[in-house]
Amino acid sequence: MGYRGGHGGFRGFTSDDEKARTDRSNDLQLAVRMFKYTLRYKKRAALMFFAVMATTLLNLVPPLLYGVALDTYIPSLDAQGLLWVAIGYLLVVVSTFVAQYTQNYMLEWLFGRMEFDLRTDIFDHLQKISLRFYADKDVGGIVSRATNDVDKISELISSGIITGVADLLTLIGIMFVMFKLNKDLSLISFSMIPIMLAWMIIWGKRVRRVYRETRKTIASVSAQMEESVSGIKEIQSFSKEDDTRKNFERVNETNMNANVEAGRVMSAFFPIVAFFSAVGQSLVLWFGGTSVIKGTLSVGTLFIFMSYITRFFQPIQELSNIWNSVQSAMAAAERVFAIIDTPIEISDAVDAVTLEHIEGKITYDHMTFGYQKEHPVLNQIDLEIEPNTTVAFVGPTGVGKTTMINLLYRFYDPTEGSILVDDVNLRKIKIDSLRHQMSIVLQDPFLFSGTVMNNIRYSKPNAGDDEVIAISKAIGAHDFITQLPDGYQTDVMERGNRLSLGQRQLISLARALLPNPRILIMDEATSSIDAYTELLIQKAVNRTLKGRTAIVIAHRLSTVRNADRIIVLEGGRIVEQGKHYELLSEGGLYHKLYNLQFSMAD
Amino acid sequence: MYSPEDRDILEKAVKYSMKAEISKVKKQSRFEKTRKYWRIISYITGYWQFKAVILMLIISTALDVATPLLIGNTIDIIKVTAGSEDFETWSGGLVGSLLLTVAQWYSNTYGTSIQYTVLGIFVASIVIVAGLVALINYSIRYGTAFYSQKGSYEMRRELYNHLLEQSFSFYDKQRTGQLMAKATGDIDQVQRFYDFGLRQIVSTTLLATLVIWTLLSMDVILSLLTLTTVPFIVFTMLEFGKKSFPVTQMMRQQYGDITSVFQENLTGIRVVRGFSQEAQEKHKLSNELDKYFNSHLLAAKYRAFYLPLATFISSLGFIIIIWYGGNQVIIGALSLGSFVAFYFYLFKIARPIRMLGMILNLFIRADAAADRVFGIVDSVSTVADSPDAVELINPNGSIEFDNVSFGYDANLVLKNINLEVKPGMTVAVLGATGSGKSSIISLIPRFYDVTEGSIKIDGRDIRGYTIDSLRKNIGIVRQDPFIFSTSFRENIGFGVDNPSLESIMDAAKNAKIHDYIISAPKGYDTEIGERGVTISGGQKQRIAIARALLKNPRILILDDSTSSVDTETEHEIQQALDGLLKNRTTFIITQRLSSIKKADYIVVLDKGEITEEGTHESLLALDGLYRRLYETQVSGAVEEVE
Repeated sequence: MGYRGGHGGFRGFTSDDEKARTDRSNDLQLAVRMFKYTLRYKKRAALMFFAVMATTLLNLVPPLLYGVALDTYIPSLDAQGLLWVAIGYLLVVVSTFVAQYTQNYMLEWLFGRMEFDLRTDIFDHLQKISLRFYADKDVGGIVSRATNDVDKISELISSGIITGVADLLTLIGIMFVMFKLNKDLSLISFSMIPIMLAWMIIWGKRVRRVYRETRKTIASVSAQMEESVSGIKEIQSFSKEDDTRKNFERVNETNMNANVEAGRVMSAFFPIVAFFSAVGQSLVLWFGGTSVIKGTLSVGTLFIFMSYITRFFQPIQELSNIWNSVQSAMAAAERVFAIIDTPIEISDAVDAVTLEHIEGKITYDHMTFGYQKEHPVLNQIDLEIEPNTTVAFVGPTGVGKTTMINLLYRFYDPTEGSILVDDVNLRKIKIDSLRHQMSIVLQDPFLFSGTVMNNIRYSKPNAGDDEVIAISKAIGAHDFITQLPDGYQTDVMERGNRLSLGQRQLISLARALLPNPRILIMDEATSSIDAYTELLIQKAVNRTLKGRTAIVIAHRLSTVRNADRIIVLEGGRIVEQGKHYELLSEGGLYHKLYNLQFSMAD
Repeated sequence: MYSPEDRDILEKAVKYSMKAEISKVKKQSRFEKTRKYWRIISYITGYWQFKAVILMLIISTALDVATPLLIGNTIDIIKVTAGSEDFETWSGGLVGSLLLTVAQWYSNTYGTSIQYTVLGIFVASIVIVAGLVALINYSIRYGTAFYSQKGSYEMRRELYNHLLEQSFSFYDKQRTGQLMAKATGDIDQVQRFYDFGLRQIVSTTLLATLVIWTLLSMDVILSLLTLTTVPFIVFTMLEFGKKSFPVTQMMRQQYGDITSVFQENLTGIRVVRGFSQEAQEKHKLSNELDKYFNSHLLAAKYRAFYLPLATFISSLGFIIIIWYGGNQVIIGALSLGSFVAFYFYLFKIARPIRMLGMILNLFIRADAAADRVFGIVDSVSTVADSPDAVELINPNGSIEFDNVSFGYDANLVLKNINLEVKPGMTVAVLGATGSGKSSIISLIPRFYDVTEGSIKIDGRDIRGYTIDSLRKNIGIVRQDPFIFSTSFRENIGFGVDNPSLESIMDAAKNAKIHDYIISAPKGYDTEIGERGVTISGGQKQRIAIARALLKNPRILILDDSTSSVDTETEHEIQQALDGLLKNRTTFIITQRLSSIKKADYIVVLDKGEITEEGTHESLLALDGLYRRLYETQVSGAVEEVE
């Protein structure tokens, strides 16, 4: 945790969530859920709580020991008694060490474990919920729930609540002891508490406001920098360095001014608190001192008061910060639990069957589907695909070609009608058993960071190296792979950045073919491969389509003309279907698209 | 207490952080280091606020040190006066005696009770000192905030200016993320050091010196006994820093790994689900979470042990005071007030001393961060104006490649390229991925400089022109153009100073994007990107074409090599290009037959060399690669030959 935190004292000033939240009705429920994560480990939680109590109480003892020494043993010149006080002090110090060790370690263990459990729960759930969930969210936002938001929750447990409890205990303990020792003097000491609290709350608000401003300005500095770096080619090509620089200078300066202003406001915060603390000390010294002179108070008690009053300051400050950390954790918890609570739309039915070996017959039966029910993307689709044939989906962008595939994979369920594989309704099939016999190659092939070998093996984790190499040879990827710096062991880096699009496409093709799928889907799989490279792999691709059911989506009509059947989609319906030459002679949409494409070539 | 696994983690962490540090920080001599420290400091020393802060730190520390002494004096005075009015036996310090004199004068003049006057004066002086300290501390903090922000502002500005000047080969080696981390994270580190670290170093040093001096003046032996704990505290904290720094460094990396697993999983969710590999993914995550948790626990052990240990050692000082100091009071060698003052002094320096480790940490990080920032600021752009460079004004636009070879590193990607392009000609460049197509066109605007040979425009080596004037005459449309997150108007007008809306609209019309733009919510003022509308790849390309049209360059470069747009969009882009090609010298990288056929001259590249060149007809007659490529596309598919 330590490396994430900045200055402890600023913790409360760096949260924006306080304002963002308006509905606080289910705070209690959220809090209970958060604590349940810690309470999974009851023994450790109990031990930690005990250690916190012990540390807090032990911290109150030293000034009292000094008081005893000052009032009893020093005036009576009792060196023996002083030795006993010292020994007692030593015992207290050793116990404090043990208690603090236990407290710190247990606390770290508990919140580390809580982060672990929360992240696992989020991740597991993300694997189960419908792809619909991802449709309108960006990946960065979801990832930040699993990282930043989880951190915020654990921060509340670790530094917010626990230190809060300890602070409150310390404060109550000190007040109790003071009150017991001398009622009048204790009331005088307490007089500073409301003033300090008021200052912290009022000024704290101002501090938060100016810091909120700095977060905005630094964000625009980062954004501008990011954009300049990403767009550097554009900037230099157009010789716009000077204008860009001026723009940056402006945001950079705005940011600096906001920060200086924040610094100014913040600068007053702690010195004033320290001043109040000194005023409190002086009050005690004045009233206590006069009582000592009058003989109604002992020097030891005066000392205890002086010493306790310096310990007031920190707990009060910490407590004033807790509210913010609670708010920010609550907002984080809301976002985290929103994921965990997203209902799982698609799961295997209890009577679902395992399809051991499928033939590959696919049927869309009166099927209608929309991502939102009111807006169907596909309407009353009826289609039967025979095993071991190649079918091409053709049509303008957004017509629902990819949606047809998503439904076949059961990423979504149809709104009406059904989809059948080998005459079994998808809803009655154990979905894993079907997906294991299907493969897909996507337009923007996604590779995981790791070696080429492991990327190809992804679809069949128990495949041997020789199997991977054999499949790569079969599709003509072997040559370029062996030319990479470490051959099959080359790390492709994040998202396969090290490779060209064409190379990624080939690897993703090898990955798709490795498990020898019964159904193969090519969603614009070769559109990003340049024509030159496509020329080289086209034969391999055509070969791979044989002997299995294949669905091909492509803009480039040259890719689809060899299909056994071409399905033309428009406006969410099938408008034409047949072989290439049949469709050409029909003179419909396919004919029009075909002419458009080849007129450009002439 | 530490298991073998813990030792394993520590070893790995130490290796990791050493590797990380060594790769980042090159070996520096003492001289270089000193110079670097001065350089870091030089960003702030120029401000008068900096000097004022140093001065105020001295004053505030001195006042701060006076407070426990005043409390001690007051206790003594109370004790002394509790019985009698006799102050003869008491000897306070300089300040004490002074205040006592004031009290006696006040009491004599106004006839108040001497005991209460003395007490009042001392208490009042504590409040006054506290008020002064608050005021000075406020000024110190404000001043620090001021110069630290100014300094980091200046550093960020320099960094940014250098980023803008760097050649493309610099960016090839960097990843945007890392650059951003440098720019924001590293400068933050330095700023934190300016703001907090530097102030703490100065004030802790001053405080420690003054406190030790004061304690020694009260009781030498007690001081020595108490202060023996200080080296142990410092040692403990350093040990803590040494052990936990590498672990926390490694945790940062492991945290990044966890983020990556999430990121990759979600980005590739269709692949994961498509292949039913959820179990494999969960295993990946729990693996990373395990590693992180174990490092976390080791770091926790260090924190749980060393921090209480430091508290423990400093508590020993308080025991020494109560035992030895108490005895001294009993035998009359130490006043009760001094005894109390000792207690408060130790209390005062315990915290700053425990913070030494943290400050050291802050310093190390700022040092490493500054190294990275200076690394960028000091790297000289490989492409720069030569001293005798002239302006390129209204060129005819003839381009000549004279035996050009080029490589990003030792490997040449272009070999012995010879090519002559007459003004107004269109040249199409074809070739497979990696054949050197993109390199050829990057050389003309000098994004890179040739390794051998030369490129000439209007007969003069392009290195003889100023970069600015050269690029002003060249327009580029990239295959994946960058669109800024500003309005359509600003994006199209990007290349020109103060373009009129009419000229922007003309360019947009010619690029066939006008109709789309006016259908957007705010027309030309609609924001693109996060805050506004999202646009497709085809639309991006047309905006880039409009941008280039508006600039009206003599030389045009089109990188048009992918075709991941649907047929109708492609058709529109083609039409937009028609307007662009007229009357310019054009290089075009393309697969589209329609574009190729517009070319006057065609060059086929293979492994960095020109293998075929000529007109469309002459290349068809050659019966080589070009012919095969052409036939595939025209006939529509590879006929099955098996």
